[in-house]
Amino acid sequence: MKIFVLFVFLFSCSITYSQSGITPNNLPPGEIIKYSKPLSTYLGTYFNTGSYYNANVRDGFGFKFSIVGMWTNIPEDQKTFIPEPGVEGIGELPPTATIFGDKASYFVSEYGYFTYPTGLALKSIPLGIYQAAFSYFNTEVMFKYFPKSNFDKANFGLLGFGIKHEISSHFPGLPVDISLQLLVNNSDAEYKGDEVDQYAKIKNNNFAINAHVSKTFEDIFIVYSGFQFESSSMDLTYYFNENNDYFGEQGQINQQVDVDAENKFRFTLGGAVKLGFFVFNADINLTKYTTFSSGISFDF
Amino acid sequence: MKKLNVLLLTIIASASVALNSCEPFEDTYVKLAMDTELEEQVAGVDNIKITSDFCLSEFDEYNDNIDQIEEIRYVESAYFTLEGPADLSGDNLKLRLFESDGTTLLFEFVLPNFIAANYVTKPLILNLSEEEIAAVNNYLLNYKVDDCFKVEMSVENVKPVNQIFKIKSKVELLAEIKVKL
Repeated sequence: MKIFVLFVFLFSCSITYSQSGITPNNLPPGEIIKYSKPLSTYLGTYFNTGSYYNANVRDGFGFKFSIVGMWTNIPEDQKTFIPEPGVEGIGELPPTATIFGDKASYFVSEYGYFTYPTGLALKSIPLGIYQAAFSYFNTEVMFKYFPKSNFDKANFGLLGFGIKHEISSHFPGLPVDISLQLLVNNSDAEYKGDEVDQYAKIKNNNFAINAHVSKTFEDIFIVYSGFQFESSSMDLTYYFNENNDYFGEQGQINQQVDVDAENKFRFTLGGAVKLGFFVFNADINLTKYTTFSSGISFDF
Repeated sequence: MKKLNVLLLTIIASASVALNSCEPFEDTYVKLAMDTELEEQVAGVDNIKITSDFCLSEFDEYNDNIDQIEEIRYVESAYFTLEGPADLSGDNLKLRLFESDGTTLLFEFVLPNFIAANYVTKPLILNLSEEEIAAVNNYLLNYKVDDCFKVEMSVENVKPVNQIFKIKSKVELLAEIKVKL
C-alpha cells in the first residue's frame, strides 16, 4: 500500500494528496518551486539511470529488453528549504520540509497561522523501469514507453528515446569497448481530482549524454563505467489554494512554475554477468542523489 | 562454481534492494492550526466573558490522519482581534483553555492592559509556562477520547462604556501531529 501511495504521488501527480497533511497546493509559486525541486531532481535521476551495462554494441542485429530496479537515497540537505513567503514582519523562518522532508514549518501574522505542508518523509525511493533496445551496425536505439493512460482521476504517459554508438568499433585493437550515448525522456502526469482546486500537472523533461567504457571477460563477466552530463526540468501546473489572505490575487487560480533539477553530472560503476540470453547487472551511480540500480535483461 | 557465486551475489544484491525498499517512509510531522472565533454583542457592561468550543475532529489534518496518528503536541497559540470598536480596551484580558468539560483548566494567559486594536494586524502570542504546555500535551494524549476544548475570553472594565457594540476575536492553537506513513 505504501509503495502504491508513493507511485500515486510521484506519477499520478496528486500534489493535492491531502491525506497526511501533504497539501503543497497551499503554497505560493515561489515556495512550491523550492518544495518540489527535489522531485524534479529525483525524476531526472530516475529516468537517466540504467541505460547501459555494456559499451559493446553488436555489428549485426540485436534486441534487448531490460527491467531495471533502482534504489535512490535522498540526501538530508534535500529534505528542507528555507521559506521566504514574502510576508512583511514575520522575520526569518526555520527550515521546512520539501516534498521528501518530514517537518513542516509555519509563520503567524495578521490572518492567522500559515502552515507549510509536510513531505513524504522518504529516506530512499525504490522504483523500477523497463526499456527495450534494437541495435545494428554498432549503433543502439533504446525506447522507454508508457502510453498515455487514465487511472481514475489521473493520467500518465512516458516516452523516452536513446541512441548510442560504439566508438571503439572504429578503432580495432582497443583493449576496452567505448560508446557514446544520448538520452531524451519526457513524462507527463496530470491529476484532475473531483474539484477544480485539486488540479495538478507535471511535465518532466530530461536530457543526458554520456561516454561509457566496458571490458568483457570470458564473454561472461562485464565491468563497466561511465560519465554522464544531465539536464532535467519539470513544468508544474497546480491550483494555488490560498486558504489565508496572505498572497492576494495569486490564489484560487492555476499557477504554472518551471522547476529546474539539480542533477548535472554522474559517475557510474558496475558489473554484469551474461548467462545465455540473460544479463544480470548492478551498478552504483554517484550523482546528486546516489542511486543503486540492478537489472535483468533479455539480450540477444 | 565461480559463475554460480557471482549469480547468487547478484540475486542477493537485487533482493536486498527490493526488501529494504519496502519501508522507505519515516514518520512525518503535520502542523495543525485550530482556530475558534469568539463573538458577542456587548451592551453597557463592565466585564465581558465569551466562550467557544472546538474539537480536533473539525480539522482535515486530524481527520485525514486519524488512523496513523502517533502523537499530537502543542506548539503555540495566538489571539487576534477581528472586529470591534477602534477604542476597545480593558483590564486583565484572560484567555483560558479548558478541557471539554469546561472546568478543567489547561492554561490561562493574562494581559493586564488590553487594547484590542493592537492585535488586528499583529497577533498576540500566548506565552505559556512549561507546566501549562505539559497540561495541554497530557490532554492531547487522549485525543481519541477527548478531542474537544473550550476557550474562554474575559475582559474587565471594558471601554467604551455604555455603548452597544460587537466584539469578534479569534484564538488559534497550533499543534503538531506525528504521523506514521
